Amino acid sequence: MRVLLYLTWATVLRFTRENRVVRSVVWPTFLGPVTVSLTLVFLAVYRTPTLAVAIPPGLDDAIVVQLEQKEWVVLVDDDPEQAVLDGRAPVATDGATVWSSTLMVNALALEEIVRDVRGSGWRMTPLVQVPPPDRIGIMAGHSLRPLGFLYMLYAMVFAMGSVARDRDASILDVERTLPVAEWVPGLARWMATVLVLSTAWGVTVLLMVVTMNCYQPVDHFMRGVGAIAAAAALGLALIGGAGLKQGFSAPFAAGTFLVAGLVSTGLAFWRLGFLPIVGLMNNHPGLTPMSIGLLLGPPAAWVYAWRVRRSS
Amino acid sequence: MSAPPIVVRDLVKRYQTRNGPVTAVGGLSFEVRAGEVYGLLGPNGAGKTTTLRCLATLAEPNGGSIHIGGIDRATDPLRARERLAYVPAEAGLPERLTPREVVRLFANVQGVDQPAERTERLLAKLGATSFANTPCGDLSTGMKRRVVLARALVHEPPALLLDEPTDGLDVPGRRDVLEVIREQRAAGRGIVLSSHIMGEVEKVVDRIGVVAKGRLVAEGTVAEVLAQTGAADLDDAFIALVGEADEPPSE
Repeated sequence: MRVLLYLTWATVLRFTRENRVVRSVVWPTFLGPVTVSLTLVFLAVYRTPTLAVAIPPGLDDAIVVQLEQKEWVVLVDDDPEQAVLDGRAPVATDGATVWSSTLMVNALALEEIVRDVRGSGWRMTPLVQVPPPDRIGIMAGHSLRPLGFLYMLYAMVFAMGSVARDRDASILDVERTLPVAEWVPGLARWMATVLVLSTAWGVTVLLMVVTMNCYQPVDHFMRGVGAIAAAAALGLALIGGAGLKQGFSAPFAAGTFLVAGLVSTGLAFWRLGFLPIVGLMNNHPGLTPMSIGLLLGPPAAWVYAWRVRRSS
Repeated sequence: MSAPPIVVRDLVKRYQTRNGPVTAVGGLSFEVRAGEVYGLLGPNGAGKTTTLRCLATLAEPNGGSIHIGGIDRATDPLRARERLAYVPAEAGLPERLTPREVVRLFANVQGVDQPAERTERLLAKLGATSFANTPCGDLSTGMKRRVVLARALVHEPPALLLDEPTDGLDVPGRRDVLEVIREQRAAGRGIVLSSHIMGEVEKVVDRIGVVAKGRLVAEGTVAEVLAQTGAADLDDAFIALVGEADEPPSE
């Protein structure tokens, strides 16, 4: 256990000092929340100006009241249609007709008011609306899923790459001459991969909670950790005795194919969401996939060691 | 009397290839005593590295036996590993860790008493203190070699396996490494030194074993091997011996 912890810590240090690793982990962590934050800043700075509505003098007060309730600027003009054509107002109405040179959503909103006041039997309702806060949280969860997929692929590549690269550089050979079981260096790399990527994933989820009040963040986190742990285990088991210079492509292709297939399986068979990777894209509670994913590390390390022994 | 650091008997190692099994080592036997440097010499592909990898428990022999410090590596590989250190031809150093971190890591992993003090002593002894905090990836070949030796010696193993330890080093670097080897011999370690550079081998080894096509074709002190071949120097002796091993011990 002591050796495992030391080797794991050394691998974590190496990961965190590798510029490419740090860059690859940092950008998706901040991609979602930063994009959202920048969008909010943009909207705050460059928000759509309050809508001006041109109306003729003496227009039905009921319409004016509703316009004012929407905080639209009412522009009284003898010729509302001309006001739109001249660009003095983006929308206009005389109580019977709606003119618009702006977004359809504004025209529809104005038409809705006019129809309402005139007692129309039907009305248009714009479907594109700013979602309510609870809906934003769910959308944040949807945004997390592709990020989780990315971290899962990272996990597979990190686990495979850390073994293959160290084998080519003879680092793994030196570690294998330590008085420990063959599976220890492999398990150390799996643990380091899971630690580094789960931390980054946790920060990602946390930022989504802070910026978008992400829905069910704990379940998202646990499903992600399960997928990371399982993908890293898959990578470790698949790389076996291969190295970067020889034989990396085949396990990499097989691993990518497998994880993509497992995610697709989860989309097709919703009930299998309790499995790690498979459950990444659905709403199954996260504890089971995380637990199963974390349990896969030791057997994967054993398979890795068995394959190494067989190839040496 | 304690067991010799390294005893190899009838070692056989075969590899499977597309063209069938190839015997890399075919019935090799030798022994390295405490306080002795044994030069394992041979041309490229002779089986030197394969032999060292079998000794280091990195490759599984197909036949024969290996004892490290009296421990059979086949039945108790973990205890055998406690008694050896393997220095591969490549440095095998993590580029992002510093020499101090690397040596300290191995001191901790090997369960050495007072790992921090032991690390500092070794770094100082090998002249690596001045660059102990520089990432290994930024070190010269000579500096890396010192770190590698410090890492190998941190648990004071009775058996030391050195694969081409002076490969790629300049003259001062080679001299430093050979000096370290002499010191370790004086400390009582049994050392296997694999090399194809006869001149430097001659300077440090007590006995040599010349391997060609997986077989031991000559063994003894340098003087004995020269006498056996009638050659004037080790280079000529080497050529004469390797030329004599014309039949490969393959299947």
